[in-house]
Amino acid sequence: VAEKERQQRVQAALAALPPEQKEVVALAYLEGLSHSEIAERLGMPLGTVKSRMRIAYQKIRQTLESLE
Amino acid sequence: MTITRHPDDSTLMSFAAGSLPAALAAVVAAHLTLCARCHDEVATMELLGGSLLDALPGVAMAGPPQAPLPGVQRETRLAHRRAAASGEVPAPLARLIGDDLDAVRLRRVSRGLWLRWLPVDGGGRLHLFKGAPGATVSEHGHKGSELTLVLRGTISDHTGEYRAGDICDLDESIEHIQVAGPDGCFCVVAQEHPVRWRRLLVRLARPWHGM
Repeated sequence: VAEKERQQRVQAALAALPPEQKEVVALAYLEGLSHSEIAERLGMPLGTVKSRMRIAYQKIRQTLESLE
Repeated sequence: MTITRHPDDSTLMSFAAGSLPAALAAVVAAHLTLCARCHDEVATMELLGGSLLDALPGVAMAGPPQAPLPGVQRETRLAHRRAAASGEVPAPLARLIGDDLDAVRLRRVSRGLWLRWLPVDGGGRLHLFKGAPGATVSEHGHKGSELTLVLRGTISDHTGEYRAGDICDLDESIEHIQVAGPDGCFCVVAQEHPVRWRRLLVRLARPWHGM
């Protein structure tokens, strides 16, 4: 699969995430916050942050696997 | 080496994003040198960094966005290539503890348990610990995350048995008692914060064992 198409699929999958999942992914990648820092920032349990990131990644991986 | 227990995907994502505290990142980097599966997952996760700015225009950032992380990616791949040359100690840890576990100077902290604190710059606490066969780590919980990488032998708790190369990835919802296997164990443990001991005597001894 062409690299450009992979990137486009990843972008589309990211854009399609629910806002609460986008938020934790963006805070980790763009602000460099650890899980605990995200939990503190958003006032939620650490486990919730981890599960939102995990589910977000599962969706993105499914999108990429559908290309292979 | 057959690895069956891996870091949680959220932990690998944080590593790929460069946002995992340094102590935990050292343990993940060590695991990646041993585990092709996680190595490949991190490579995919690193793609996300470059895609986020375009994909998430609606997310308001409080600070300037970081560039994608070619440095992390490059170091991960280099570490993986170096792995074949190392023995029991993965390359990212060898600079901290050397490459011979039996030569590391440890301090006895309780019956059948020895440890050595390892210097880490950038968040979290890191230590190497050795458990004699059947030795028990008293019941404790955590504030934040804890990652344990087994370097030799086995260690168990109610979540299962962990062998060399395996990672035990826990958050603050878990309290556990760990027991070293019949051949004992060497593990590297990264924690965001000091553990919460259930037993008063262990809490009172914190100035001695430091944990």
